[in-house]
Amino acid sequence: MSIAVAADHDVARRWHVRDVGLWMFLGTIAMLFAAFTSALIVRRSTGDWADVHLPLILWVNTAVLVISSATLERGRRLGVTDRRRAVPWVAATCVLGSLFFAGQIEAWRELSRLGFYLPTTPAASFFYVLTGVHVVHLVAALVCVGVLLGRTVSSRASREWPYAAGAVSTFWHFLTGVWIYLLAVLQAA
Amino acid sequence: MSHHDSFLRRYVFSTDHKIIGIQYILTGLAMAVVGGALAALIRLQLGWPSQQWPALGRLLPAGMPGGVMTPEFYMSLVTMHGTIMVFFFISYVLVSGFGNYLVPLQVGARDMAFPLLNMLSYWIALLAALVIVGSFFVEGGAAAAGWTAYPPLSAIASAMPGSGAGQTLWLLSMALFIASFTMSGLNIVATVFSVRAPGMWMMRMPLTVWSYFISAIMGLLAFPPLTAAAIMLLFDRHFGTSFFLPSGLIVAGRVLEHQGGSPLLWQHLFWFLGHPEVYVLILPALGIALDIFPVFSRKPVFGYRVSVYSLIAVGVLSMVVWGHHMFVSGMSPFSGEYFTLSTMLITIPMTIIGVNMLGSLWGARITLATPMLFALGIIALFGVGGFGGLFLGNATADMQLHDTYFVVGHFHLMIGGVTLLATFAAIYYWFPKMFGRFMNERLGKVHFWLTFLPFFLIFFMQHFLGLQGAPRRYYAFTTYEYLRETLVQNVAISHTAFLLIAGQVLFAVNFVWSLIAGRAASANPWQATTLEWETSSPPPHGNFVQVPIVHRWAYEYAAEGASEDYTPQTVPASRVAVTP
Repeated sequence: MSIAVAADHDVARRWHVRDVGLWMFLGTIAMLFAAFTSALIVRRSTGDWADVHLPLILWVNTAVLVISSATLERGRRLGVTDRRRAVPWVAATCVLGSLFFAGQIEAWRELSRLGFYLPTTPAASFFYVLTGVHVVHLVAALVCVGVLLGRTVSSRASREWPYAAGAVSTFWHFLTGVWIYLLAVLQAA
Repeated sequence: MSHHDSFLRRYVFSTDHKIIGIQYILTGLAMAVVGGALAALIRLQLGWPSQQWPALGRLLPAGMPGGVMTPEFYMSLVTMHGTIMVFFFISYVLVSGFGNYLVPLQVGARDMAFPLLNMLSYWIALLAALVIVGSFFVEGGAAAAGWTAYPPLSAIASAMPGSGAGQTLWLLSMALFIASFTMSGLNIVATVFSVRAPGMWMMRMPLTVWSYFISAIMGLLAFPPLTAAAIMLLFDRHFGTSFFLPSGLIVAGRVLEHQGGSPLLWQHLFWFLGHPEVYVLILPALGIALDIFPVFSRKPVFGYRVSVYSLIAVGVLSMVVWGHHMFVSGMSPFSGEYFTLSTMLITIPMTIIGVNMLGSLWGARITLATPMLFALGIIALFGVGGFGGLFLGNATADMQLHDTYFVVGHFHLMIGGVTLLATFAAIYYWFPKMFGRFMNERLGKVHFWLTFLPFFLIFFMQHFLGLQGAPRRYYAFTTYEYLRETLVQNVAISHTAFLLIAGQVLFAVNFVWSLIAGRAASANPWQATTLEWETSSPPPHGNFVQVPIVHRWAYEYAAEGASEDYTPQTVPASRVAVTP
């Protein structure tokens, strides 16, 4: 019994270290988007700014991403007691995350159909760059969710699952938050 | 990792922080040779403009056709010298190299928090170095827009030869460097936060660890804005956007299509990184000096807590002073006033650190061993260079001095000299720990004087060039009547620079010779107190046979009741009373 407790303590300590690393990493992402935002504010004041109409599908994408955060959170909570109960929720997150990715590509296509390409206006440039950089991060997070799904369906016992699920969901929720922030910035711009 | 791993796994693709640290140090030293060679070419041109050097013409036919340097090549040399020295020499050796080697050992950890990430960080760093060196060999040559890569020059691929593939590779290399530096920084922060030995409270950590910890946090917060700027610059260069390119630019008689961009936006984003980066490099230098002083003065460091708070204050303030690099950019006088004030404010904690260095030496029995000589040199350069910073941090004075050799002299003394001396101090001091052998003392002392004196003279003289109005980045001063009289100084500076370079040959010889045949070192040859000296030299895999338990701070020298004049951090209070 005492050996098991010690092992649990080791696992908790290892994941505590990973949490520190994760939060520092999220801090760098926050600084990245803060820099983009301040660049947008400065660029907007230079006089030739023309608003770009945001594609309506972005609102659908936003809803999809928020729901995906909810499914992942639900899965994480259920999985703490019984990992198998988390499977459909983590799988749903994978599907919804992929849908969001596809939805963003559709948003870019819609904008280009309206004649707004990357260099057309500064607002369009920022739209493509901001959403593009966000999607790159989201794809990385989606890979993490996929790995988590693999661990969730795996039959091997793992004391680390709750920690892994916690780290992945923190990353995912963070990117959902960043997306809502970006949408507000783009809408305001 | 185990003792049965193959040579490749142990010494090449290793996850051991000590091997990775040494890999970083060796890579950085190799890059210093490249950066130093570029400096030599720069000094040749400035000392003897338009002189023909037939042998160099054969070696560098594109940059020096007929043996005479072209202006474009000169711009590439200046750009790449700055880039390589700041990002690929000092950052690699002092920050990533010694940061990797020392932090886990000094906090009593078996390795970095994320060993695999650490290995990845090194290999990406090596790739970044290869890309930047490789950029010399592409069409048009290496980047030529300055190490600050200001647009429009850096944003228009057709602006000059180095603006093409060379500038693209510069950006790619910086992206790789930032990725690697971020991984390294994450590791240092997580290691200090979470993997310290029992009893190693934050306020018991050596100042070296504190300085790396703060510098890593600064790097993590300051580099992402440069990433954002680099992404936008790439889009301006290759996809027609106008983030940084204003309307009406004419290149080769053709008006560019870019409209309304702001070159100043790049400057803001660059210096938001660039200024903290100065402190990212210089804080570890100060931390190392503060750790070396007690060892060779046999008394505790002066003002430990105040030094810690000052390091933190410097870290915080360094994030809000970037505009002092842009006083002449047409910024509002109110902004200029703010940046002047905040810059003056940062001199307070920096001065406190300087005073604490002096206090650490007060009334001490100083042994002038080679590491100590280099550490003492830091005080001199830090003092003089910092004094020059007072002029440049003040908008009124900076308006006159901006873009002159006064700036070149100032930042070389600070970001160049302080960090260079700290690098050598660290190498001479920790060489016995890293390789189990001493470096040769006599050669080391000669090397010190051939480094410190020429370095100081070169850049002290450049302050006066700046006061005479000599602008930086000019290809040939002799073109301008009012600058012709500076030729004598430039010739003197060039001669001194070659003496400095020659002095480094001694270091290379000493380094290699000592690796093979240096005097064997014991586990704690300097009789120091910090944890890295509590394990064998070199330390085994996993660093310690048993995880050390820390009972006291890192500077217990000349403690009452102790049989020796030093008490390692692992000695319990029952044997020697702990200094409160």
